[in-house]
Amino acid sequence: MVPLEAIVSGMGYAVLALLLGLLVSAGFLLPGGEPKELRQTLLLAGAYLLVAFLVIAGFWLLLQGAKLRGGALPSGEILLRYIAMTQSGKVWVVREFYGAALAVIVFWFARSGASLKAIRFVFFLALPLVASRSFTSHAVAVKENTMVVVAADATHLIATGLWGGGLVSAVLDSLSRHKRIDSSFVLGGRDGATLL
Amino acid sequence: MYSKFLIALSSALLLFSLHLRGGLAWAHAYPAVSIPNNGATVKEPPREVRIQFTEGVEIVFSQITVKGTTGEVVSHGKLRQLADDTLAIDLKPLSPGNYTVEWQVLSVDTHVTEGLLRFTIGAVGK
Repeated sequence: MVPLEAIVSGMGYAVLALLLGLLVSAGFLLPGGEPKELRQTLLLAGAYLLVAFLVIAGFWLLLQGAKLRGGALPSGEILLRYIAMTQSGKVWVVREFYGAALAVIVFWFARSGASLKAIRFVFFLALPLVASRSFTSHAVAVKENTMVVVAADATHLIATGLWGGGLVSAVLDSLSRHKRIDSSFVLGGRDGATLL
Repeated sequence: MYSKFLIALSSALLLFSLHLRGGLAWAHAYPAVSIPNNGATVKEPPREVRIQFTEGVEIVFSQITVKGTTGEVVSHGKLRQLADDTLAIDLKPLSPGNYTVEWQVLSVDTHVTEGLLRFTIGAVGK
């Protein structure tokens, strides 16, 4: 059986991968002629994904605390000690604050109609969030050339996130575009019928 | 233009990282070396138990307890971290007999592991 912690951790990564995919679609892959609303929809979806990431990370912290209590519900004191006194706990705190700040920025951009440059900037801001997982992974526990291994792991996470998230995002984009094209045909048909 | 650039970049990053990750060890924190050694018989009573783990450990959520044959705790004082991956605990003056070292650690990659080590104080070969 796959441990709950692994499932939660995998969900956190999947959400971040999809975030990368949406941002890369909005900022790089959509042709220049695409309506601005589509980019904004993608940005808004990205903001919701960031909120989901923060919630999942909170649940992960509870699981981590439960592990330290031998499976029991962790006390606030245990969680505070964990985030204040362990390396992985400190990484968790930084990642939560960074993710929350990024969510606020992405929400703001989605509401205000950000420029293409701003969307691309947000994409690059999202990369450290994905890469930071390496600081709590097996990579950081490797004794020799730790930083090289962490860098390789982070690169791998970003590359697979771009690939997987980009693929899902591209499929969703094309499905959404097909729907719009279909409805244009329907409208065109109606208009044609009216003219006749 | 950008899409071609991104495809090339992500492919290169993926290949690079797969190449580098070849030597990555997929293990949790377990004792690599301990003093006294697991299963060893020593002549002189040790003044401390020292364990070096296969990964870095977090002292704040780690513990080592040494017990005698009847279950009495013979370790005392605070757990000490001698290096990222090495912990030590002081012992009371020990008499000949069998001892069990119970350890539990939180590794830097967030995994909790635990186990037992054993050593004997007495004449070697007895």
